[in-house]
Amino acid sequence: MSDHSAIEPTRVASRGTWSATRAVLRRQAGLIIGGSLLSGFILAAFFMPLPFDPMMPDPAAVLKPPNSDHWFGTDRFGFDVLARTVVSARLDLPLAIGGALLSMVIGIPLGLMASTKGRIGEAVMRGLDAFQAFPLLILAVAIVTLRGNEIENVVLAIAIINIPRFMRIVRSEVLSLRESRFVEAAVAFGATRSRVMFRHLLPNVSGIILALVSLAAAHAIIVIAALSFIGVGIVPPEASWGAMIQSGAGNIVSGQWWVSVFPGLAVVIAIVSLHLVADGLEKTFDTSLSDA
Amino acid sequence: MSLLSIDNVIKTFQRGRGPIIHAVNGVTINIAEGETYGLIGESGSGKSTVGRLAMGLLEPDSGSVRFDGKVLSDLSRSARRKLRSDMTVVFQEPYESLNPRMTVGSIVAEPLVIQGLEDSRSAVRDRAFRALESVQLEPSLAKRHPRDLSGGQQQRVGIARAIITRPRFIVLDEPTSSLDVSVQAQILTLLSELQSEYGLSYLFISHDIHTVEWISDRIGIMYLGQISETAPTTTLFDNPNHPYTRALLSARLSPDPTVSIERFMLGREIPNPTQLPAGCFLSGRCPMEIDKCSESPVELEAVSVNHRVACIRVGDIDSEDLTANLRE
Repeated sequence: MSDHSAIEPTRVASRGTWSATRAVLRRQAGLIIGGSLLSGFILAAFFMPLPFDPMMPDPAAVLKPPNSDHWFGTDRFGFDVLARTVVSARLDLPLAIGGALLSMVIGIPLGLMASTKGRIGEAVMRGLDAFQAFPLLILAVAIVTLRGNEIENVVLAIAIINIPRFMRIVRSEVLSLRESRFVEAAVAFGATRSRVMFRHLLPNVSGIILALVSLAAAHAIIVIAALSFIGVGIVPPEASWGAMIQSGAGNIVSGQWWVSVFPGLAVVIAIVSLHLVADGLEKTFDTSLSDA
Repeated sequence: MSLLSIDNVIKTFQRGRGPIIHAVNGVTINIAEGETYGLIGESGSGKSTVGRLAMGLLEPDSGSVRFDGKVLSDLSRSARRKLRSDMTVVFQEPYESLNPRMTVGSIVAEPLVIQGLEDSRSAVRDRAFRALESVQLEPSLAKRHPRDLSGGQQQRVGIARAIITRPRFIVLDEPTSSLDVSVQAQILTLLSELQSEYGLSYLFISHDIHTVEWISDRIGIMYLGQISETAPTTTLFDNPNHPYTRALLSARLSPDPTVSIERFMLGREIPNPTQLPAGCFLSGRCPMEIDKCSESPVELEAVSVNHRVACIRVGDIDSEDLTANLRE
């Protein structure tokens, strides 16, 4: 036969680079916006010139509403809300992302163990059920209170309460992938168990895992804020969004809304950005969509 | 001596405490070096299970599968793994059988890498390129992912993966069923070219009588986990003996629209493989049935050299009588 691949044209049509770039931009707008906001937060936290020292209260300007000097106003000690909202990202974001990464590192192997058929998988799953019976936020509070208000313990608490998500997602994804034809094919060609695991199963869950890291980081921001709010974890004078919201909570009733609302908005924006990044990552790794 | 012999193999499945499914009920197949054995059956007839048993991907409940004289279930895990370069498989769904995260090049090269057959990366790559060329794909496609290819190209990738280790035997599990008719023809031609080039033996599994007729040297008709008739292709098509074979052959389309094929109809539906009939598996559906048919199991009997039929009425009624009966 002389007719061959020539009559089955490859589906990837060559397009102009500009229109291709534009298509990517449009499809990945969420990833780009979320990523820029997050890096904006971090860059600002470390490099933005601040009008006031975030650690230096001004007793002469207590609970001032937003004005031309203090754009976001001041709190009841005379701290500048803008400066503290910006520098809070120095601790909040790295802790959240670090905790999420740690829970990924621990959660993936546990999830893989849970996905095996037999006693080990069953034992891991029952252990997970028992563990999840605890209210996780209270567990986080207990960890930080018992082990001390150190940053490592906050990261540890975040990691521990996020591990179950990673385990469950990795397990359910891997369970369905194990039934897939290409895994059967790999076994038919003599692939060992570890090759199946690392070449065929894990790469096909990488997209969803990365997305989950972003979601876990978003959850971690809430946890850090909640911990600070009840006075454990990052506590004043160290700046943290949660602690700021807490310190301003009492003033809201008397009309001084700015102390809590600005750090609250920062939390919302950080979480939305992380969710945008998660969505974008999942799209990028979705193999059902073509490259172009 | 046959390269692959499946000897009286039985395989059942059970999901949880559910009913036992009798997928394969005593199948014997011998495939010689360079031969293509076509296995035809409806869906649920157990033909794909036979393919997996032949590959050693499933263990038979009883009976044995021998490849090159070695009983597969007796081999150690590592010996069996080594055998995977001698016996390979092409699946029905080309896209699902290719890992979406791997490039075409690494998919094709994977059997070589698994078996450690080449030492250097460049040698692996050269052989992958050559395998792509022998299935008539551009080597430049090696960097692409399966989703970038058409269905026919994807199946060529599956075939390239199956031949890269220079196997002696390939299970073709409905390799053309999910493709367009024109692409089917190309793939079939490619398969037969590769066969004569490398001296391959095929077990070709399909529900499509025409493709099986075209590619096979011998054919087995599977019904409810048993082979009801087996013969060389021309014999089977010229002189079908088993009532099920006749029904199957009369159900195909005539290539000439002015000539209509005499229809031979079976009654009712195929029985559930959880409750097998006591006698002939076709009893209850067969127009030639007599009381004795449903009494005891029916074995394959030779009606001529190489032609074996599992029907106790083969000698009683010749084909003329039968069609006369049916016209009523």
